[in-house]
Amino acid sequence: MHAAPASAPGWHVGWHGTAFVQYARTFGTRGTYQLGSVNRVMVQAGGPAAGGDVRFDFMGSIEPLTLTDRGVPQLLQASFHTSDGTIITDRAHPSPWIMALSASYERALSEDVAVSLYGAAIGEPALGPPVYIHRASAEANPVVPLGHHLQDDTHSSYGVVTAAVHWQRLHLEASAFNERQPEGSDHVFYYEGARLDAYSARATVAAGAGWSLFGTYGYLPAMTQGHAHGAQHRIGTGAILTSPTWLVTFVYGANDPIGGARTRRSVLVEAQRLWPGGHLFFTRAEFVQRTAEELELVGSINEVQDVGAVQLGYGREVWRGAVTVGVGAHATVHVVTPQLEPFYGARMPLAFGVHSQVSW
Amino acid sequence: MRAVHAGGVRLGRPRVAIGILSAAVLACQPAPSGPVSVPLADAASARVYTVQTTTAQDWTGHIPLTEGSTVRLQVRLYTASGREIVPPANPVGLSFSFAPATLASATVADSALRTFDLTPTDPPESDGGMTIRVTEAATGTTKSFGPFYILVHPAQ
Repeated sequence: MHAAPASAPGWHVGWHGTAFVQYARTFGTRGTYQLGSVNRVMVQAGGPAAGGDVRFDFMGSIEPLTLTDRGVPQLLQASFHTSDGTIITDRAHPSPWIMALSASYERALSEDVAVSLYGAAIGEPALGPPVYIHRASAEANPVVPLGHHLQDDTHSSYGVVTAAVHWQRLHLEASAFNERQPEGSDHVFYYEGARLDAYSARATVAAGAGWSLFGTYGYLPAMTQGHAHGAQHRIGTGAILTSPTWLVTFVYGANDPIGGARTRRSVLVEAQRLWPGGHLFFTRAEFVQRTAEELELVGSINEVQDVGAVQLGYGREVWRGAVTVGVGAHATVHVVTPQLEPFYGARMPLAFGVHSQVSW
Repeated sequence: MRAVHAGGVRLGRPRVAIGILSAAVLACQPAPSGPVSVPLADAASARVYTVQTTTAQDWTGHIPLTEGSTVRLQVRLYTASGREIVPPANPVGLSFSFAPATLASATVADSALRTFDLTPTDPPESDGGMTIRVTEAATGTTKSFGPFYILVHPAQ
């Protein structure tokens, strides 16, 4: 993140942005293609106040314009509805205009203990791993994880409060948040029926040698509108490695519906390897239990389908100045059940993308 | 936040990039869309829509019935690629089954339009599934779709 001092003593303003200009192609019966842009910009300001540190964060995107409300092609991604009610399958929906608008305050109580309070009009509750757009292991990867609905709260919540305690290597967080999501991407704010009636908690331990381990639990009440679901528990665990050369994330996440439906599970392994000279390699392997509803095939296939995807990608920096420019490409092999084969044209439908990434 | 790439300022192997881009452009083949008239054997999925509202509503994921009321619904058939089968190449018949069997009853309203009337027969708060069996007499093809979830609501 670029940073500059602000007018108040000790305060700073920082910013970072990244934009992928990409051609995405998916193959098979549900295949399609698109030239578009995945992008986001983050602005952060902070400094000392009231005996602690205050921070303000903003993150936004123009994907509703650069991907349109139909989103980017991605086989097996959970379906969504556009504002006019059109059902979109096998595409990842665009990010909203504003993904984060938050403030936080952290205060050290002793050398080993600190507490923090985070409030967001739009933000991320303490649930699951850091969302993929904040994960270093996914930094050069423009593709959305298939299993994010079972792992984190990738969709920004319209109302979040999080309290946290940091004690040496242990970090404990608890959130109350509003899980309601709009249909379509034309809402900037969405507070219809808003209540902080979803809860989550996360424990993170810095295990040393660049590793951190986390465990998480969330209660999500039944929701209608966008990404509708029944009341459910979301549980997860995982590990994250951050080193100068390897960036790795392991995630297990599951949704346990309240009321007897079967638990759905997901596993994600994601890595990025950096080499001198600006070369990098990235990969992601996923197993996800998709519902017929997520594939818009209720009544036509069994309720839960085991699917998977393995992605390999390569990137290379080609220019560095006021902005950094890279190029890259990735290919994905998906694996579907025999029951899904007619809908995808193969047991192992393929996809690829080529992109240029501009960061500043 | 970290920079994505590190080091290097020279564009490497532009011919490779051009080759990849060319292959991508050649791969551009828009999928056909729009309705198609094919036999029932080509139907891969079905959806359930209302027909008595101003705008047809998709009730595939959840059919909300009201105690004592009958609703007219339509079965829409689709190929695996998502093209709606309108009209089917041959006449088709519909039959219905419910789990539990007492949940609701259904009668065909217009087999050419594949519409049917659905009435709950279990009390409010009951739920279950409906399976729709589609038969094409000309070819002897039969396909079943479901279960479609039904929940009975109390009358207002």
